[in-house]
Amino acid sequence: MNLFPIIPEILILAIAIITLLLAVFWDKHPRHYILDLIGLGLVIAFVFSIISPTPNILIFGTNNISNEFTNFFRRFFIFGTILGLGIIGNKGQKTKITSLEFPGLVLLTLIGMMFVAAASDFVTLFITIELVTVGFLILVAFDTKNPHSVEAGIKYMIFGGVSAAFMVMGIAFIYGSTGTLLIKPPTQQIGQALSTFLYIGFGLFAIGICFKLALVPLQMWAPDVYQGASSPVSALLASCSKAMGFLVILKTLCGLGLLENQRWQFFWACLAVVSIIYGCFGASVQFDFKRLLGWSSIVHAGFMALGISTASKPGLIAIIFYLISYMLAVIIAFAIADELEKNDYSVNLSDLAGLFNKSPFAASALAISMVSLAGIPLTGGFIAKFLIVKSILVCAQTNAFFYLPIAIAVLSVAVSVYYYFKVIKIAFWTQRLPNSELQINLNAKKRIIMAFCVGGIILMGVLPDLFIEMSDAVITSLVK
Amino acid sequence: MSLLLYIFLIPLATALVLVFIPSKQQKLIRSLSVFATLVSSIISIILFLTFDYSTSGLQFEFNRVWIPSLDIRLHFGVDGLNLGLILMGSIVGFVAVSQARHVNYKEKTFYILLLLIIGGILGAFASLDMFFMYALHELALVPSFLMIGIWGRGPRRTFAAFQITIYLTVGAFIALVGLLLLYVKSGASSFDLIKIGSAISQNMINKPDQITISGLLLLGFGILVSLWPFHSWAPLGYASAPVPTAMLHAGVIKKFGLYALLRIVLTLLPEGIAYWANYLILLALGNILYCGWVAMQQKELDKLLGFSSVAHMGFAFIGIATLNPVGISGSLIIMIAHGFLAALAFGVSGSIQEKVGTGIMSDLGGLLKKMPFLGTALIIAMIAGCGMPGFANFPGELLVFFGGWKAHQWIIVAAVWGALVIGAIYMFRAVRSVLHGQTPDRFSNISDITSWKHRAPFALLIFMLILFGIFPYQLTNKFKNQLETIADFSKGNKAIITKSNDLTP
Repeated sequence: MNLFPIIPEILILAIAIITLLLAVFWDKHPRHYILDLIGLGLVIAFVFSIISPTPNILIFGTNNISNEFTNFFRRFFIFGTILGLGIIGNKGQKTKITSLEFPGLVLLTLIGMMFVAAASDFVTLFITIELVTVGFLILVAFDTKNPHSVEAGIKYMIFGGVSAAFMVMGIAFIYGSTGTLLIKPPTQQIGQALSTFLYIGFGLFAIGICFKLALVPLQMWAPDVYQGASSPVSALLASCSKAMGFLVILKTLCGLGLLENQRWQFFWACLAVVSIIYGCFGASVQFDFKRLLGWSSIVHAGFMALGISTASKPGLIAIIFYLISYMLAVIIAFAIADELEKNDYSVNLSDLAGLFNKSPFAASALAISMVSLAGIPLTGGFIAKFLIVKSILVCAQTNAFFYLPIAIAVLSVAVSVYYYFKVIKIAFWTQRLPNSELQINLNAKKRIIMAFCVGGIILMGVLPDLFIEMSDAVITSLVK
Repeated sequence: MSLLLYIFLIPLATALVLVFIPSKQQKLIRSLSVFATLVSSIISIILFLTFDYSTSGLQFEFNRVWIPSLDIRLHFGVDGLNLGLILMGSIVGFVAVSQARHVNYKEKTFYILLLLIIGGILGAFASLDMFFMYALHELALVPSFLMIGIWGRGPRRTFAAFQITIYLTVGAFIALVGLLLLYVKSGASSFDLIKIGSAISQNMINKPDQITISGLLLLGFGILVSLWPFHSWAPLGYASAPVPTAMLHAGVIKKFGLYALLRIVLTLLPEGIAYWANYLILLALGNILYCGWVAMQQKELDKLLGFSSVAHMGFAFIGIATLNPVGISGSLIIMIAHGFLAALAFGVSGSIQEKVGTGIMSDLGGLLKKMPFLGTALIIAMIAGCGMPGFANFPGELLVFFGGWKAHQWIIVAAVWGALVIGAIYMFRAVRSVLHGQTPDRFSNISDITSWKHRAPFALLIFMLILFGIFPYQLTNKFKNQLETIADFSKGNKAIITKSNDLTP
């Protein structure tokens, strides 16, 4: 078997095992350079994932490792993890993440996500999704002395369990109706299987996946977990885990041939609209920065689900674009949250006060991140929303129902401007309480990552074509 | 590269350069900013003078593909519709930067944001691509929010910052939906307005769709222009913003919505605008009468100026809603004249408040004796605002009234009443309470602005007002050709194609 295409996976697995062994046998207190070495290893893996050659290599049976779609998501996950581990600041290294198990587990979840991208049957898919869920479960509840963290862990566990139950049940129904565990069954088998069972099965499976997306109906965990987990973990949940959910949805929808089915379009549009409304209401009354990001992640999941509901190539391209721009923006937000977190991992919005005076760089980066999340032009977030709205409008030409999501989207932008700009307002001109000194000390690595993300956001805003073309290639390989 | 590009690229590039200059070099930062906007306004004057008005069609064109998959283009060019606005915008931009001398906290950030606003709005005026029109206009949004919040005036500035931002975002997003619908319905698969125009002239959009699209655009752009009853963000926003931001917002940025209505709705969606024109004219009357009436109740000078500038927008809307070339050319003149006027009024009022420390009119009085230059400038702004002959507003309002007389006599009567009587009441009341009367003792130490550097920008604005007031033909001849193609517009159902000379694929 030619192992060259899975060098990234092998490399990351090796690093993960070495890290975990070191955590047990060597030193309980990681030094800077170990995290840096892990980062370096990930960068090498990233490079290998880019130069991995020849299309359509199958590993472990039918799992396709190297079509454009799989490859994009492998790179996306490695990249997201590099950024997510990179924002662990000095403070986090000293006080919170006292053991090397932390990066080791992050790497294991990364492996899980990469195999989710490659999976082509429901068994592999389910096992790898569970690997990711369990990995994140430990990461969320990592600080066992901190009640918030444990609470978040329990919530994540319960919702994760419910979601797994839904998924398994759904897979059983799908198997029953198509007679195969392949995600992309042969066409004639789907033809015979277009029955109520397939619909029930996919419905249950989709609801299970909503947990990963933080989409209604399994969205409740998001604010609590984002708040209770340490910032790098929340950043990974928001960027990579959410992307993994969309990856699974796209793959199964296309594989089972349910994409251009009006009922499912309606299903996603309804979930999306409810999520957007729900998230907007929640986010506008938050006083905790990370909670706010948690609520707003529900809104963003809703926007991306609108892209699915269009069932058209432009809509799916918009999702890929949205995922990239969303990742860049939340990494900045959580990088700053990481610096300001208290011992229980919460960051009050008022803790951001005076940021502009203390560190204009951090404040500007935060502002650009919030502006992008709100969807103001010349940022990636705007183009993402623009592409989504455009694809729904095209959809609305044939089905007038789709004017409803557009109206909701416009209203939600108004609300989201309120809560994102509230963050900017506090960071730029709210006075700090006299006896509380703002302590922020960005290290060089973090500065580079933040500057990189800012650059990426603006590049996506002014030169979106690079990314649209890339997303186009990704989606083409999926739906072709 | 076309000369036109430099007008908005110079401010944007300077903003980028300023990022890398240490913030201690305040003098350098300030002079660079002033220089950049001065150069940009000189280029726009050259553009204005060399514009060939004997032919119709676009000039100084620049056309490149930017995003091939959506056919979004870097398409810039001037014709009669935007030439005057670019001239006005760049001159007001220069004056606004020169008025930023009062800022004494985080100057570098302020100048960067100011230049971003100026470059963005000038680019939006120059752009012939819907995407860039929209995006460059929105470049003003975040800087305005920050400027009102950080350097703003008055206790309610946080509220004002949120209000202006949310209103403008909602307006812009509604307009965006309208623009996207136009994109989808036109069948041109391009965001280039010229391409959309020629596609529509082949194959008209059907009437219900035209009504929907133009309704969305009217609502969206109407919010941006503070159309009654969506005006409440404007007066408070201007009164709370730092002086240069208020000048730019009231003078230049607000004209963008009107310009977009002219450029997109009026030329591409004739049946749609014809359907809405009667409703629009009623709302515009609301601007003139209601906001004029509210302006009479104001106690603060800046709020009064804010409401009066909202009221002025009513005339521009009526001009557009007349749907005939006379009214539309009046509307264009008002847009340009009001840009100079609003900048002058807010600039002078800001300078006065800088000296006396308050804007509440009952606390002021007798300032003309102490500050002859600023006082005179304020009086000029006030009487120009009432539509006095000799200033550029007069020909504009006159043409709007001529244009609308035939179809809407009673509305014009009410509008004239609003312009002449209501306007005169609050303007002259303000003049009396601020400038005339006894000078209170506490103002015995204040003085006028003396340096020519501080006076010249105001003098420039007054000069422009008088110039176009006496020679309005200098403006109307620039867009005469263009409006003649709109001539049979009110009857016809034909979309108007602007001729493009640069047809890069």
